Amino acid sequence: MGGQDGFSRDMLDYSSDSNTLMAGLKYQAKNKTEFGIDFSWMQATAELAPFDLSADDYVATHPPMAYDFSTSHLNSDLDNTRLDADLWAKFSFGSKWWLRLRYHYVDFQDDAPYLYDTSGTYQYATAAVGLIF
Amino acid sequence: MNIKSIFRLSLILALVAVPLTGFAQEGEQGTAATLGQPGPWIFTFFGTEYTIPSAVAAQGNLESSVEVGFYDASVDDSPDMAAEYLDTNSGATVNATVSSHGNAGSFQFVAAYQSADTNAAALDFDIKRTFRSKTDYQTFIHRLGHDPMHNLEATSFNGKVVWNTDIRPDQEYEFNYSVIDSRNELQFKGLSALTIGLDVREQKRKGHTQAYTTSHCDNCHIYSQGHPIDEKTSDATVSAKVGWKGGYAKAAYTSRSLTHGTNSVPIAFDNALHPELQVPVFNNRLQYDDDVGIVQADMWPDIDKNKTRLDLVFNDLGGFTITGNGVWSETENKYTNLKSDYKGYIVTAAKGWKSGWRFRWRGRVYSIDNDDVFVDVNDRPSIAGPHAGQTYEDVYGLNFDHVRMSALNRDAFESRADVSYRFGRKAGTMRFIWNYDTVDRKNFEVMPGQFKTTTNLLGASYRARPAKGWNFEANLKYATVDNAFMLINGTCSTLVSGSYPNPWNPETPQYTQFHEARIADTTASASAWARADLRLGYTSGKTTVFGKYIYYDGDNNDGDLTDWQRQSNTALVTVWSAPTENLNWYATYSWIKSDLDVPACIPVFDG
Repeated sequence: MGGQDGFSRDMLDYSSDSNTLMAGLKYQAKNKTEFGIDFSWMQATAELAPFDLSADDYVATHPPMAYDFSTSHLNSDLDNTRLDADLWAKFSFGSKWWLRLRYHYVDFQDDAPYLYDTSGTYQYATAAVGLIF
Repeated sequence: MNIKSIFRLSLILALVAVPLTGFAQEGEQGTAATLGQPGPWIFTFFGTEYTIPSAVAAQGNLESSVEVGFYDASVDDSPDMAAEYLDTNSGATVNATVSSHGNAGSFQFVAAYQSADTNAAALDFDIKRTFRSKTDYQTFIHRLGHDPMHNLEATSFNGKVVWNTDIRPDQEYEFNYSVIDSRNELQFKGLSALTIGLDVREQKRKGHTQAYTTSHCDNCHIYSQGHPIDEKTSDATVSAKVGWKGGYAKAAYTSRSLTHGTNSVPIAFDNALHPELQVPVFNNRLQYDDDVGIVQADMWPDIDKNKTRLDLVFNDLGGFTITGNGVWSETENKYTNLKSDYKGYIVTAAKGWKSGWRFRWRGRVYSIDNDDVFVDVNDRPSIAGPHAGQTYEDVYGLNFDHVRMSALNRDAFESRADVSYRFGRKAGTMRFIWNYDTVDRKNFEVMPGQFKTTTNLLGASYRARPAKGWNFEANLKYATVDNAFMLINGTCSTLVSGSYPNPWNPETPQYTQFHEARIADTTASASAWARADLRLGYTSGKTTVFGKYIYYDGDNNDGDLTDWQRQSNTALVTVWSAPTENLNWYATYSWIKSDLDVPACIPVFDG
């Protein structure tokens, strides 16, 4: 049965970085037909610099207490990329009827899973007919 | 609203009911969502016009529309991030609008239904402007993800392990969020100075969340199971406002209740055993283990809250615009009957002079007073080993019963003052800022012998429109914080205990001694920080360009071994253009970078 031999201390340097780009366009023809596209891309990373809590003095006299911290900092890594694309169009027929179409695409990539891999792709498509009365 | 509009509304309601019938197998939520209520986000989602066209309002006519369609959604791999707030079903969609405007009043109903998890509606109407009502509703799904707990698996060579059991491995953790918000006003024609209001809001969350419980001693065993959510937060506010030429007075009373329609999760903790000997020698160090049978865990209490608010506004009092308000609230935990009281008062004053000078000040005082809690620790005797028949207090003379006093109890004061001078339209405006805050805590020391945190912030800003279409702004702030929030002696235990043959040796140090030997003060709050930002914009008739940059740097070295520091940089550029009447486009880029430096300190412990 052992006890405590003081503490081991080191500085942690945690950094995060994100870049986001969004763009879109909307066009409306004279016959009221409309078209639109929206796009976004986001990339975010976070990481911890290597640290050492090896307690060298204690380990020198208690070799079984040596621990390897060389990869511990990697557990805090985050690396995500998300792409969103949205396309839609509305076609008008006369002054009362229209047809609306829409497609939405999302791709999320989890390149440094934390609890589990959350990567996934979502797709959505719809078509609808409308009437003013 | 006339007979014709009622007929059209009935027709639309019938159409909305079609998909609801089709999705009846999805459970009660399908019918509950029937006309639900509106949420502006979904109208944007479907492209529905949410505002009444001004031409329609002016002409006092009736306009209705219905849109019926089909949607198909799918997910590959995990939906937890790609479709965190999106449903992944397929089926019919209905989207409808009815609006009517006339001498008797106006009426607008908007609804969009995609599934029981995604729908919204809004109903606005007035009766000759005497009674005005605005109600909206929305519901959507929120996926929480299922933690497989792979990080909770570890072994050692002598029987000490960390392991987990997922009682509901196939449970999907998500909830359906819905909120209805209704604002109603009554204002009589002959008594237009008086407005009586009734606000009602109800927020619900229904589904499952992942609940963890930990059994500890012979090893760390974490259980995971589903905790059903059936949460409802209801607010009702009655108010009366009296206005006059020079200001108004308003009084409001709000009653809120938070209820959980589900039980806590049941759990049977493991038998606490020595990891190698596998005998129950540590019972006098744990409040309970498997001997209490099944107990309730992850408890969420029901809560009641009431709030009274008074507002007073004078537009011109000696040349100053003066406002004042007071808020008094009481919050009660219905499980423990513990209460929290809040009292807060705000006064503002503002005045501008023809010379270009302007002065503004906002003062706030508030107090928080929470009940004390008596913690009665369950002292159990050991049933085996050297301490058999003895409680921890019998052996070491320590009793851990105590009165817990809230760290939130405080008296606080905030002052925001600024003085500005306008040189001219092109030459711009210069502003100087002085903010002064104090937080005097009743029960929590933030530095040895110090309970009070004092913040002084000085700032300067300059805003100008140097040329046609151009605008520029620069802001600089610097703050110092005396006795920033900190945990005194929070880590870095200096204890050097030596080795002992077993935990029951009378000389073996106890946890209280480990804690008492800590020397490092920890924080996540800056004791000094600076913030600078620059903004530049240009607008022509058809194009707008805007850019912004923000820099922040804060640190805290006031305590022993504290060494906390954070820096961040944020930049944004956006362009919007409409080169023709038929076409518009935009592009935006943003960048955020943040660095945090904080010490880690672990005890070197063998045992």
